[in-house]
Amino acid sequence: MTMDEFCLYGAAGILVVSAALVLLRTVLGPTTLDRSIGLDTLTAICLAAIAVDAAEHHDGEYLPILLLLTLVGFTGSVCLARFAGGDEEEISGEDGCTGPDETDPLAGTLPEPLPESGLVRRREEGL
Amino acid sequence: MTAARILDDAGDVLILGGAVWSLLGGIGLLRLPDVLTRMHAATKPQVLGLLMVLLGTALRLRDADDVTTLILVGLFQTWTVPVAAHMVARAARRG
Repeated sequence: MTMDEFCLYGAAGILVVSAALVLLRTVLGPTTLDRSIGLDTLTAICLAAIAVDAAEHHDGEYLPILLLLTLVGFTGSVCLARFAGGDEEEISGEDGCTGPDETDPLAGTLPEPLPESGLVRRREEGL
Repeated sequence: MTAARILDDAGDVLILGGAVWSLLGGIGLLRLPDVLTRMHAATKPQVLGLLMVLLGTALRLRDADDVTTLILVGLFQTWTVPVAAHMVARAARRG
């Protein structure tokens, strides 16, 4: 067994084992975020596997797939994190907005808006 | 032992090292207790492991087009992984 075969087939086997472990975490993962992390890591392991295949065949034909997978994996992970966790706080949190059933904590501290007649006058003046 | 042979062998060793990092990341992802610590384990295959594998592949291919693609992949990965990790950590801490 040459050094090439030992290292590359060994690397491929190790990648298969680690992909299985990550997949197990993705299936088990108690929260959506755990699954998001698992899928992201699985994408990275797929990237590594395609690179190992290219190295084994001395052939860079499939390398553009790596470029595509990097960007797509990033988009998926960010979308999951954005829409899976912390929704409620995003609506009524530190961003200053209040939910439908909450009292406005800023009530009374801001100046009153201009009355409708003032707005009409300013609009006619072209402001 | 020619220079090409030496480069091939160095690439082999780097690829095997990157695969071992992926295995460590997989074990950590399975065994660590919560989201933030699992993120710590997940970073190993995403950055260090993948960069080692890409470097090893570049050493073995040694073609200008292929090496350019591999460098781009490494750059995109190191740019996008911190952003994704930031989003996930923010969601984990809030929810």
